[in-house]
Amino acid sequence: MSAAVSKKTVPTVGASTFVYLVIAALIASVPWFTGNVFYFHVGIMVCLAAMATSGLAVIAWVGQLSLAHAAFVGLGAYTSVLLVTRLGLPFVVGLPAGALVAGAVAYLIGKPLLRLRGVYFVLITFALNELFRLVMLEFPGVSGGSSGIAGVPKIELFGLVLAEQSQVYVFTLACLVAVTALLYLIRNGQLGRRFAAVEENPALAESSGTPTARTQNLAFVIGSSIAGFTGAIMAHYIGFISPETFGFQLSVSYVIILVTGGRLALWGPLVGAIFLTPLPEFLRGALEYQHIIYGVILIAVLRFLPQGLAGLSGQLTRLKGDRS
Amino acid sequence: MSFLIAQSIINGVILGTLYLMMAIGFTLAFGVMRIVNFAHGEFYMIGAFLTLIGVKWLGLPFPAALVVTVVMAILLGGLVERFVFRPFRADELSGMIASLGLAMILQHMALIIFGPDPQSFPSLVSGVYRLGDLIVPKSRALTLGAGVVILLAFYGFLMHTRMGRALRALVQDQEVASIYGVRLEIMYPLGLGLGVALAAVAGGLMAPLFGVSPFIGGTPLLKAFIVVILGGLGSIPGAALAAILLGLIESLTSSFVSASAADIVTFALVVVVLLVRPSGLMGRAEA
Amino acid sequence: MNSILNVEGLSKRFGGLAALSDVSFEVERGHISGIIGPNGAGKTTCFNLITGTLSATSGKVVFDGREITGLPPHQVVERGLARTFQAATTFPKATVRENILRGALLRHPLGLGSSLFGGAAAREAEAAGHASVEEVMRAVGLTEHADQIAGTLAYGHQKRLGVAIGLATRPSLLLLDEPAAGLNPEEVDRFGAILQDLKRDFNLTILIVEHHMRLIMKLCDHIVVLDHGEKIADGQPEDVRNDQKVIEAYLGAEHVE
Ligand SMILES: Nc1ncnc2c1ncn2[C@@H]1O[C@H](COP(=O)(O)OP(=O)(O)O)[C@@H](O)[C@H]1O
Ligand SMILES: [Mg+2]
Repeated sequence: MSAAVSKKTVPTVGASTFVYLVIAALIASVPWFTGNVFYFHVGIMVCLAAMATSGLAVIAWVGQLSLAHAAFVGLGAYTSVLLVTRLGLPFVVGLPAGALVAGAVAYLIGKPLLRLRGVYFVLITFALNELFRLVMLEFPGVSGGSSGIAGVPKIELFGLVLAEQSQVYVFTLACLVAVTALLYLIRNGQLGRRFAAVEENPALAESSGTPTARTQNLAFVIGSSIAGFTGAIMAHYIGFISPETFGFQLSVSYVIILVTGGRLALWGPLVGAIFLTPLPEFLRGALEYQHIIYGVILIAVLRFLPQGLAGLSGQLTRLKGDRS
Repeated sequence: MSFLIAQSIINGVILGTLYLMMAIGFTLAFGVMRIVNFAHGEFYMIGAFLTLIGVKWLGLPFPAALVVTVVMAILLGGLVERFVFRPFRADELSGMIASLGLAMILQHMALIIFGPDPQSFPSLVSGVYRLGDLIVPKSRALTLGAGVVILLAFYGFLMHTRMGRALRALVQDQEVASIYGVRLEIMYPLGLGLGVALAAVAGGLMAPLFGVSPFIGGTPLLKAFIVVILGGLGSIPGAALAAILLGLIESLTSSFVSASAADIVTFALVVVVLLVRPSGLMGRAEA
Repeated sequence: MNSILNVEGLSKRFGGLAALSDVSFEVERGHISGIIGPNGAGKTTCFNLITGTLSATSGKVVFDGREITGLPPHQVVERGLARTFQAATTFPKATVRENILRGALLRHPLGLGSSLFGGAAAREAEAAGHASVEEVMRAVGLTEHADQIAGTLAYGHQKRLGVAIGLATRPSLLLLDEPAAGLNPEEVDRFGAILQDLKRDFNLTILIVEHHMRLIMKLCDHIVVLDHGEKIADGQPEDVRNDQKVIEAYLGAEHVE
């Protein structure tokens, strides 16, 4: 009896996971096949988008949709850039500091914020992202104002400057793997159970022993730390940041990636980022079409694939099952 | 000094009128359909372009162009309700996310059709009214007058027509309203259409003052958002008070402090209100 | 008298509405006690106050000799006082087994962490947790639905799953809010039998809110009657059944409807 049980409930790396890993590895190696610098750049952008969206996903796992995610990416970016440029600290200090500051801010504001649920939480995070942008603009001495901070030093790991795109790609890929592994562990551990319980029925979760407030706050802190972590890398790769970089539009783009990939799926952020991020890079000449395509995809996915692209295989097997 | 204050108050009332026209549609969409419509500002932009087309390309007189704008906007709103929002009726969050997509689509379609550059609007009237020391440009007075007339007309519609009463009933209580025979398949598109038309006509009215471009929808959306949160999501009287208040606060702080300070103060206020009283400053407290 | 729960002068106001006014009663250890009353009498509110889902306007709740007034629900359940909900009784997207596992988390570590990083002891603890889940599932008769998604279960089964989640937290006192609603008379009888088995096998005290009078009269050792937020009777089933105030409350309620 209990043997059969543990097979069901203890996650094992099954055949489908293996297939996914192989596919992921193949996609990840595309830039090397082409050998083209541009493809490495696209690869980096995909990794960064997938990482930031992973943070958003953790928050979504407890049932909250944040429109302030870009602000936390921005907090990480500014923290690292200021530490590196003003205090001369190395990037390997700036990077964790970015994650830490974003997480600390999330911790401080999380408790009152997360009492709001549903659209009210979305609305307050929308206002907070706007507030972040406005306040940063108000302090040009710190943020560089509307002209931002240019010439941010490149990523440097213990003396090794990542000057080549391919090097940065390897680094961001490694970071993405680490973040995804973290998500996997959370997802399949006790914490993931608690998150899912809070997402599905907060009152019942609380009454069966899960401290819902603390659990939601933890998800918010983890997700925002991942955002800050991503922001630090992003800033040093792109070399320029300004308050406008981390505005409403960036938050919306993370939401689009998450929803398209699958709001509650482990692979959602990755699938969404692989599917959507390359689009603007290849549509350089016609950016306005890109946004229309994004909008159409978003509405279509919401309507026809509420579990996102990552839920597609599940939906297909169910269809097949229904027919046979 | 008192002259400056009076001047600011007049400007504030004009702003407040604009904000209220934006906010009513936004709050109605939430009250009636539980939609938080992030595309609301794009209808302001579309209204400005429609009016511009009417006046500049078709040679219509300004009031006629506004009427055409209103009619087109109601139709457009109805279509949007039917084809974008209707599938998400039971799901507030998905409806709101869909509106983010809709906003992108509308803005960038305008960008493709009209290009990014601001277009000037032929000025309708010139000159100023003088009241003692006070100066009110005739164009602003006209906008204010038209805005007030439109708002009063809408108020009359809500209070004294069958459809208006049905809309208010929906805001009060969906279930009871549908039991009493309010037909949702008509009222939902109508509700969104009317709200969107108010935004569009605001765009048309403001076009002569501020010019027209695909990007002008952002600020009015923010203002509507602020007004609606402060007044209580779904509450029209709340929106009315909050709109005038916001117009006055902005106009006074930007005269005496700075415009960016006003923005920060109002957004901070929004955050505090959401935290302390999600039902709005004047709303009924939620249990 | 060996009481496990003492409710003393509990009151709750929602704005102008007094949902519960100065209600006191005791629940004896090992008993099945019932709370009855017309719709809107304040039964669910009473549960919400006892378990900390809502904070009381005034009054005191003592569980197992210790005051628990004002504790958040997750701490109340940790002390051994679990409850089910009248509606939304399950985690709708998860399987039946996963639903019960989430209740069992309170007493057992279950999940990747322990199986990945823990040693043999951790694995044993986890196996014990799973065994406990199976036991609960069998006890409420949901084993054959173990892998079904909770939201797709029949209404009666969802109610039973709610009981199972509560049971998985291993309570000494279980509060049930209309667990037999929507069942047909035959199912109600079967459910009554299940409850008696649960009480025996899990060493439970039960406090139940129900509208099925036959079930209540048969199961309960003691009944509290609420009407308009006030306690109007309190005693053995026969006494309550013949109480003039109780009869009036129910007749009055029917008149309104
Ligand atoms: N959260 C709440 N906010 C406002 N009123 C409430 C709330 N919960 C319950 N009530 C009111 O309190 C009264 C008692 O409700 P309830 O305890 O659910 O009754 P019962 O469970 O006996 O049917 C009802 O009038 C109900 O409308
Ligand atoms: Mg009840």
